Amino acid sequence: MSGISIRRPYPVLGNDDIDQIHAAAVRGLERIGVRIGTAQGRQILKRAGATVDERTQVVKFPSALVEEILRKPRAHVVLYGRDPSQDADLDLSHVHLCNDGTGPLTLDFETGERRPSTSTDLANSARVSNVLDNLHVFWPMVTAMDYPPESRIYADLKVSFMNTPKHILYASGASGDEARRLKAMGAAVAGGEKELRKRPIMSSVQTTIAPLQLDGGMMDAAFVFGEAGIPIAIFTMPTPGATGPVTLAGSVTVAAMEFLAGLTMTRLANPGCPVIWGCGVTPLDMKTTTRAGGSPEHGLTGVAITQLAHSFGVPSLVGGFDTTASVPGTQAVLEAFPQGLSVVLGGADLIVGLGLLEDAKTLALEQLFIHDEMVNMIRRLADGIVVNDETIAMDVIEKVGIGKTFLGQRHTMEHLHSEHFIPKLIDRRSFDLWSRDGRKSVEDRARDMVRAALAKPLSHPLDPKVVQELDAIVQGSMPVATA
Amino acid sequence: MDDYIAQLKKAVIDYDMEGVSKLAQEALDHGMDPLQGIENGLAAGIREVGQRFGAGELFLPELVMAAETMRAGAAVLEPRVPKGSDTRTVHRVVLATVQDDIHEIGKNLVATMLTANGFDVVDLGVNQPSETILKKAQEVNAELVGVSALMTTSMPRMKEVISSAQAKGLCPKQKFIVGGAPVTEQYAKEIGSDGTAGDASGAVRLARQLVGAKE
Repeated sequence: MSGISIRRPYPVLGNDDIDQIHAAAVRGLERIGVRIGTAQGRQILKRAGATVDERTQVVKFPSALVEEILRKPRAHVVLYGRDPSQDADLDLSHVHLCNDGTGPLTLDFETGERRPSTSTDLANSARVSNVLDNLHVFWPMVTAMDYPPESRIYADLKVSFMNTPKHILYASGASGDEARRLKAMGAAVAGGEKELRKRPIMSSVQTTIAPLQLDGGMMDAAFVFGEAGIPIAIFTMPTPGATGPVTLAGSVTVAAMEFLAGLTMTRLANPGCPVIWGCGVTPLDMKTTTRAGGSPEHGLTGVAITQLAHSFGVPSLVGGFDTTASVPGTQAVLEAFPQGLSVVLGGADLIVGLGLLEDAKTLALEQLFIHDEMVNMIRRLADGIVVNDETIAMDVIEKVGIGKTFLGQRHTMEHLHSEHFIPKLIDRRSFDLWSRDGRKSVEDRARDMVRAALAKPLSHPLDPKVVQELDAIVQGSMPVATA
Repeated sequence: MDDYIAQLKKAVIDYDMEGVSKLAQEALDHGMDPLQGIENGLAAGIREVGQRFGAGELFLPELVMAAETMRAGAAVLEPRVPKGSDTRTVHRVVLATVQDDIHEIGKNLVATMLTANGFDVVDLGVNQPSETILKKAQEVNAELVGVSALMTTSMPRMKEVISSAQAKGLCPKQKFIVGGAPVTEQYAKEIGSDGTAGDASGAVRLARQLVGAKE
């Protein structure tokens, strides 16, 4: 499944802006530094010439060290699928889409009840994702609340591997031990550690803590993944106005400091490891105190960080198509569209955010089809207008002549599908026909599509022996029952 | 011979507008019955394309190209059908945009769709006075008359056509359908027409129903 190419990118930063933020972030790392929770990480940085205060765990980075890391050749990041036709090549010139993930709640598909998510919901979300036109990478959409907390992340990975052949991107690994166990699951599916290194079918998202903190466990996990060749996304998310300056440029700079600290450390530990700059920089809503995931600012910062990431030679992973709405409907679409449009036209390498409500909290399966249609429309915008002799079609204009129709021209049929967006979900019928057909809403029609997707047979099922291995790892993580 | 009939059907399904005339001529030279060629070849092809369009598998340009192919093939075959042997029932429709209105995109789509579905369409064009429409419908012996208007200001002209037809005693033998963006089912009923449809596919269904044609 190929990514979306953007004929005329829509950047939000000028080259001067990129240079200014770059310079400020490097200066900030030298003067203020970042708190690094991992002893291993501090040691690596100290050896490379950083100033480390072991009491406060604050590490200050000489600007020369950061610049040297940025000058090193970049690692080409490919997010491999179990099914090779689903590989997502983050080549810095195509946009890829990924689900929103780890939602604790689900709107029950049959009853509409808002309840804790289960492993069945996760399996269903994968099976619906498998039929979408524009979903390149799968993030376990919900977390299996029917498993004990200690085992949940492993159960989530197992159920995802079992239900989709796409690459699995995963926010997990809060310690080195967790990362080793997850890596073992990936190796079981890939057919060994060597195979996993060659075609890493999973990647990991490691979150930083704004402002300016890199958690110890998260980074220890990053070292384990990096050593195994598993791509790491260092996910920075200062909240403008709360954990970052209210100005977007300021919060983007904080994000840049956190990312450059993480990049420097992980590259020193494992020079060739594939690293992605992840971000979800969106304001705190100052009235409701919620995170405004569906804000236009989220769309702007995603593009700004994509531009900075590309200037550093790394791909970006940005939030997009988010909403804080509690139910599917107008607000969910109203928030998702401008933000999604911004990050697609801005050329983000991987956009995360399809299919959840309440700012990445609640699964509504029908949202996936609504977002997929939205992506198809934006994809059309991204493709723009191609101008050449064939598209100007003067010969056809002449052939048809004055007052006749172009409908019967071969030119029309040949170019229709590339020139016109053809809806799958949007209903363009007249009122009378729509009315006679039961007056279905967009959500109703999306629900019909969910039913059809769930009825489809599963492609690329896992070998039962592999499932057994995964089961054993999940079982091993279960808390021991006390009498 | 069956081979040529199958090839003519395939030409329509493959939208071979450019090659169908030559194929039809060749078929005649080899002794194919022209009526068979039309009925079981070209028309069978257009029926299949029409069904796939109705099922949402094909798009309008494909349907129109198939119709063009059929037309080109029929132009070669029809003159060779022996007089008196043509027992086909042809349902004839007259279409026009009413006086004071020059909008005809929707009407043209309906014309295309009806043609593709085997109706014989006489399209009078735009800005047509009621008298001209009714006179022409009598002349060509149309079973069905379709009039359209896009503007609310020209809508009353549709009522004028129907009232005039009623006064002349043409109804209910001749059926009248109406269309255009401002037309609703309720309005169609109010002015005494035999119905309206929301789109061109719906117009075909309505037309079939009114003339008693089979799918």
